[in-house]
Amino acid sequence: MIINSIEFKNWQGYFGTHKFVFNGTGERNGGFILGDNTVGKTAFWEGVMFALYDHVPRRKNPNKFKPYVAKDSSHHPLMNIDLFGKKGASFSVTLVFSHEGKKYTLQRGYSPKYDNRPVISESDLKPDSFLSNDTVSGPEKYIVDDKKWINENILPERLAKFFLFDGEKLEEYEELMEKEEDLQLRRDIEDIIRTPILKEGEDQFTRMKNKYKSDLAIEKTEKDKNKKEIIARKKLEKVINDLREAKKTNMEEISSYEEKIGEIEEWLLNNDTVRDAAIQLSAAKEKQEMNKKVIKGLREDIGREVGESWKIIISNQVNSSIGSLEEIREIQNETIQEIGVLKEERKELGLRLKGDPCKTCERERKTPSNQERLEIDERLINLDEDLRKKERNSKFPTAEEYYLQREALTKLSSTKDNLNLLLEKEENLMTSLTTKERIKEEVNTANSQITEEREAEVKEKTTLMAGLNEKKQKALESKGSIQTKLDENQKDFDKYINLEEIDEKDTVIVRRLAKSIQLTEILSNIFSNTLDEYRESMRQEVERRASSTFMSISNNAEHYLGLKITENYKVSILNKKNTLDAGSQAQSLVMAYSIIDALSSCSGFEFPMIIDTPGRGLARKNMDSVFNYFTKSEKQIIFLPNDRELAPQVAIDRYGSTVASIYQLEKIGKDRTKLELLVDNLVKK
Amino acid sequence: MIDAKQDIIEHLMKNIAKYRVDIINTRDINAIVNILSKNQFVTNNNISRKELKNIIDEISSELVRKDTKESSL
Repeated sequence: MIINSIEFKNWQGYFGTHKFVFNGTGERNGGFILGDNTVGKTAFWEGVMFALYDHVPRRKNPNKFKPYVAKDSSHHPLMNIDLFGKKGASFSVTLVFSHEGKKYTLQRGYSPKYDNRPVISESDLKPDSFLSNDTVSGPEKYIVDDKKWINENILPERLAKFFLFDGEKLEEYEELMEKEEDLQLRRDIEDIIRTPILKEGEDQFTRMKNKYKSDLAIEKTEKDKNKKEIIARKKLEKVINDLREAKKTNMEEISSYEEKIGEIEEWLLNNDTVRDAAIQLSAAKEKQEMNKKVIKGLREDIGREVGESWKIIISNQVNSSIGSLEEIREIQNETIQEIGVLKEERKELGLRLKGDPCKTCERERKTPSNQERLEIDERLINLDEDLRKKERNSKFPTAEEYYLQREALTKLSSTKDNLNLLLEKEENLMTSLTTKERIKEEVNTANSQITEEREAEVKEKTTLMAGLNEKKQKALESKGSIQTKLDENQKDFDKYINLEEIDEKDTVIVRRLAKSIQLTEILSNIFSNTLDEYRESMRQEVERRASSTFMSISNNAEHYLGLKITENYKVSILNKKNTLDAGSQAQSLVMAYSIIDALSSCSGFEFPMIIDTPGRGLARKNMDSVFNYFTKSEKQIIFLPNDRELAPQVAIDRYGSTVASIYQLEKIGKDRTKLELLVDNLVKK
Repeated sequence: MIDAKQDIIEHLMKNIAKYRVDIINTRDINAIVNILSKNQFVTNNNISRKELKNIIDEISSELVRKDTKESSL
């Protein structure tokens, strides 16, 4: 299956209709959908899941599904929350894809059951879905049981994890390196490489052989009309049937134990938050310590800054007062100079009055006339008055007063002209205090998960699992003894059906049954013999491909030879000394990518790889190698990286010519996603 | 890309050749593997059992017809 386009209508944050197209020119069919967290990348990934399987598992509890409708976004409803309670509200995902040379349209959605009732729950909605084969017309166009068809022809839901995956879940694959026990993932690997086909073949043909034997025995004994033989055969047949029934019950019992063990394993994996919480608690405490130091430093800085801050506040007034003081002082100096001038004029007028010569140039002068005397006297009176005024004004401030005032004002003045630095530090402090509260919440949450109660729950589950394993072991032992009894009785029964004695004198039915017995026996043996041989050949192929991918994307490839995969699919990194290497966490994530790529390549399922938050836990260099490697691979790949994993401009520069399209997601309004096409290599209609 | 289903068919055919079982041909093995493959992820196997029985019955009838024809010659 190759996705040509996907259209969302009122799907989660995609309010209204939004379409992503990957139908590129040339061989291009991959793409990037860029956006920060919570803008709609996961909603895209989940849209593909919903279109195919009609539900979206919850991230932290995959056994439960997200609701179609909810008022609050915290419940993660599939229909856009703005439509909650609205009449006529509907949502859908439409996938247009190519598969084995044919084009299909798959619409999965829900529309209102009643026109005039507001949509507030799932019971207000009815399915509005179809799957059509667009290359044919007439009654064959619409595929009736679309879910069954998808599981049989496109991809079984159980294997979707190998194609639609979340970088956050790469850790799950890391367990392949660490754990030997029978994990669900290992069972899924058997499924993806299709070994159950051979196991099922062996079982089916063995069952069919027994049924043919029973039919043949009936045919033979009934025909001979030997009553004694018929009774003995029927008795033996009953014993065999009872044993088969016991075998069936025993196998169901084993499967039921395995299923329950699998559920507990899954529970422990998803809900054993004690271990995760301990890690979170340790990280939160580290952050708390760091935050404490930051707050202490900021408070000390602010303390220092605040000590001077009042000066900045009154600095305008202080500067103005200094200006006034200096102005007064200047006027005072000018007045003193004027007093000097006036005093000189007064002395000069005294000399003129007496008729004495000029003191400066020593020129002889005449004795003034009466009129002149009167004028000089008048001038002297004015001068004296002026001098008195000026001398009175020039006394203040005194030199001491001026010095004291100047000194006092200088002490009040500040060298800084604003409070920006202080405000900045205050702002940082506020942020740190908010962070402190958030970390406190993180610590509380982590602590609440490490309660004794939770630990007890984990212990209870672990004990339950141990009990189930014990029961499974006993059931396996019973299986052996039932099989032995069954084989013995079957041997006795076989005397009624001696195939060598059957010849052309027997009826066609008898001869046909004899042939069927031979045939099913041969097939059962061939399927059984092929199983181990095929499994080993597939293991080698997965190992070869995974190693090749690993060497292409690892940033430490020069130290490694590749990957080593055991028959139980335990994976190790092989170093250049040909010994197993522990590898770092980043390397084990690279290993996870390599295994997923190899398994999906060996499965025969043609399905796009859609990878959400692909760089989770990966080093930058590894992440770039992952993008480079997969964008050049023959598979359809759609990456959903966040801004830190791949910046829009880098995506355009590096991959703009290799992919069909690059979209950028943005959040607008309350909870709505807007998309922008950054790179368009699409086929134009 | 490897098609795991096709790979299984090839392995089965190799073993059929090894054990010299010429009564089962590639077409039959293809049909059998397709039935088992379709039902790998389906819980109810009744349909597959019926389909498999039809294939075996058909081959057996053909073998009986062949034997009768040979003995009459």
